Parts: sequence; structure tokens; C-alpha cells
Amino acid sequence: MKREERRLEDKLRKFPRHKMDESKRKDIHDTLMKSRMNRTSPKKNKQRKTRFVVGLASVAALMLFVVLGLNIFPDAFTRTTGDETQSSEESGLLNTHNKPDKQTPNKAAPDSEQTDESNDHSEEVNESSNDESQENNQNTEESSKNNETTTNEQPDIETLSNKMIDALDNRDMETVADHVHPEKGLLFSPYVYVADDAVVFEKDEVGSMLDQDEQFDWGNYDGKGTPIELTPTDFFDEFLDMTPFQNPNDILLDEVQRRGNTINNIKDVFPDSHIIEYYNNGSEEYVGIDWESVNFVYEEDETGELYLVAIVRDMWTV
Amino acid sequence: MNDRQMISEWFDQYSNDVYNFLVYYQGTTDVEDLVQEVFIKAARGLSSFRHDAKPKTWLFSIARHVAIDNARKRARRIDSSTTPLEDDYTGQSAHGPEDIVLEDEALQTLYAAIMELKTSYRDVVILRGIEAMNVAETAVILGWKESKVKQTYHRAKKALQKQLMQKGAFNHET
Repeated sequence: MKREERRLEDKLRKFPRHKMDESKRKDIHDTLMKSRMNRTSPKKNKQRKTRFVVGLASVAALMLFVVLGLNIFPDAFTRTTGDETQSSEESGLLNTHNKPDKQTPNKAAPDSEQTDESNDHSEEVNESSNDESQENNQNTEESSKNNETTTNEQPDIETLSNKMIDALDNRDMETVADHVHPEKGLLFSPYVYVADDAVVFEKDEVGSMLDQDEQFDWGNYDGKGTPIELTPTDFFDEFLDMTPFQNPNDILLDEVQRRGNTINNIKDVFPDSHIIEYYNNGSEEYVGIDWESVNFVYEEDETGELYLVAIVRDMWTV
Repeated sequence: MNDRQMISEWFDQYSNDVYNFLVYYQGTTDVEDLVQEVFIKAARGLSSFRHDAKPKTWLFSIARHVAIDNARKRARRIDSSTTPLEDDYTGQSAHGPEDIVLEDEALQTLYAAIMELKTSYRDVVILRGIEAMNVAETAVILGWKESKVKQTYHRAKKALQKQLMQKGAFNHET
């Protein structure tokens, strides 16, 4: 058997070496030299980590204030007026508020950027003891509202997103259009780095977008760098196959995970959004390299209704 | 040496190796676009390159990802295409020996047998056997432990021999 194995190995070594055509090789080299280098910078990663650590400190400080507030002003927290009830209802299931107080821990949107913002203000919080009681009241009320609603929020955003997955799978764009933000429309991004010039359809265009034969520039292919010039139907076929997300391995709400090397800037583009990610960890055949995600990005209006503002794909990139 | 110079140097040194690997991995000589994609990805992902690693193994690792990603996209496009007989995609499977024409008939048979192996066997046979990568390099490219590389390569060779014997090909080799 050893001899046969050796003979097989010898045969394997006899496969001829293939070489690129020299002119083609030169073309590729020229293209390469013109391309952008080093999309990811270690400095940025470091900054993210630092912000995360400061974020933890900030959350701890805020919790301390809430506890202090409860002790000092117990009356403030026993008030349950009709106004508050109404306010809670108005704020909607996810209860993010139109302009969230940066000092308030917001369970509905614990994304890194917002955490960063609250971090930046953590020192102010420590110094501003004069307004402590008022702030504590607000914090506790809001925290209380968040607690009330957190238990309900995930099924709702998830239910809506499941509906979006089914609608996209069936190419039922009328259903999708019903939930698109009336002013912001619906943005499509093939990767988690949302480009400034990403394609956005108005709400009233979404229902019939797949009827269009016009090609759009949806961004650039990762790696190749060539433009993704496709009709909406072709873009959907290539980037919005919902099959992997019918039975996802994970569903994450407002939990930005950096999976590949592409910078995820969804929260920068949509700071007041809720992001739900459907993640499929890929197949055994391709040893998980073919993992992929779809992110549905929602924003709330003043009544708390969730509107879809973006559909963002994520997949393996270097 | 700046990043651009480093990538340029890597391209000079390894682009043909990457090309050769992709030819055998994809079963076609039409992989120049993938070579370009590999080096562009490498250029953009330089910050994730561990400088104690070998550039060649890193590039092969990217090439394998690119090849798999490409095969997956192509399979998806074939699946979703309402006109499956379009020129671009006629009959070409994600992995198939259709495009490689080897003058040596025995090698052609051997290659066809390799492409019928399961993915992990095929990976290790192409890297260890055809590309002559050592165990450590193969382990880095595949993200396996060295022991797994050895074991899988051993099993893959057995599976390959069995397959060739069934086809009556191996016994005729000299």
C-alpha cells in the first residue's frame, strides 16, 4: 500500500504548472497598483476596543446614579401618572425616543457608537451632580419604560423581519413597501460598509422596483472592485436570496458583530436605528467560509412605528 | 517597503503560484479575474496579515476563499437563472474538470477523480499533492491542525486510489 501511495504522490507531482499569459499578468499588476490599499486600519480597531472599555465604565456609572436616585428621591419613582402611561405607549415597542439622552442606557440600542457617545459624556455625568436628581428621575423612568418594553421588543421586530424575509423570498415588494420609511425610503447595500452613494428607492417606488429594466450601480464587488451594475431583479438574485435566512443560525438585535474585515458602518449611517441581523454560519461543504448575513435596519417614527430604512448584506470578505 | 511595494513584490513572486492553484481548484484556466481578486483582497486586508506568516500561504488561503465564494455565487446564479442555458453558465459546474485539458490521459483521469472527492479531501490533495505544500503550510491555508492535515491527506489518498481502481485506471499506471 505504501508503494501505491508513493506512486500516487509521484503522479500528483507530475501535474503541469499553469502560468498566466504575461500581458494579462501585467494588466492585473497595473490594476492592482491603481487599486485602493488597506481598507482596514489597526488604529481604528484599537479605537473601537478603547471605546468599548470606556462604554462599560459608563454603564456602571449610570447604574450607580439610578441606585442613588432611588435612595434620595423615592417619591419620584412612585408617580405613575396617566401622562407617563401615554408616553410609554407613544414611545412604541422599542422605546428609543426621538433624541435619546446620551446618558441613558438604552437597552433597545446598545450599539457601539451609541455606547461611544455615552462614554464621551461619562465624565460630564460625574461632574454634574447638581442636576442629578432630575436626571435620575428621567433615567429611572426611561429605564423603567425600557424594561417594560424590552421583553416585547424582540418578537415584534423579529416578526416584522420574518415577514420581510418571506416577502423578499417571494419577491413580494408591495408587502416590503408597506413597511418602508415614508421619507427615507429603502437603501440597499451589498456589504456592511454602507457607501455614501448607496442605492435608495423611495417608498412609492419599492413596490414596483423589480419591474425596472434599468441597471443601477449598487456599489463595488468586494475584491474585484468592479461596479455592481445590475437591474434590481439581478441584484436580488445575486445578493438577496433569502434561502439561508429562512432558518438562520443566529438572530441578533442591535448587536453589531464584526464578522469579516469590512467595516460595519450601519450605525454611523443610521444612528437612531435598530438593526436585526439574520446570520447563517455556512455549509459544512465549504467549511463555513460561505457564512452570510442580512441586516434589516429600522427607524421609528414619533408614534413608535417601525419603518424599514435599509437592507444590508454581509458575507465573507478579506 | 510600503504596502504597495509589498503587494507588487508578492504579485511578482506568487501570482503564477496562485494562478496555478486556482486553475486546479476551479478546474478551469479562466481564473485570471480570481487572481486579481485575490491580490486586491490581500492589498485591502494587509492589516490582517500576520507578519510572521508566509505571504504565499496567506495568499493561498485568500485564493481558496475567493474560489469557494465564486463557486457559491455561480451555483446560486445557476439556481436562480430562469434560462439555465445562457452562454456564461452552460454546463460548467462549480467544480469540474471541463476546462482543464491535460495532455497526459492518465493525469486527466486522476484529476477527474480528485474533483470527485469530497471537499476536504480535494483541498488537501491539491495543496499537498499537486502544489507540493508541506504539512505546516497546508495547515495554515486550511485552518487545520497539522495532525488533521496528515490524517486527511492519508485518507484522501486511499479514497483516490480506491476510486481509480474502481475505474480501472490506477493499475494501468506505471
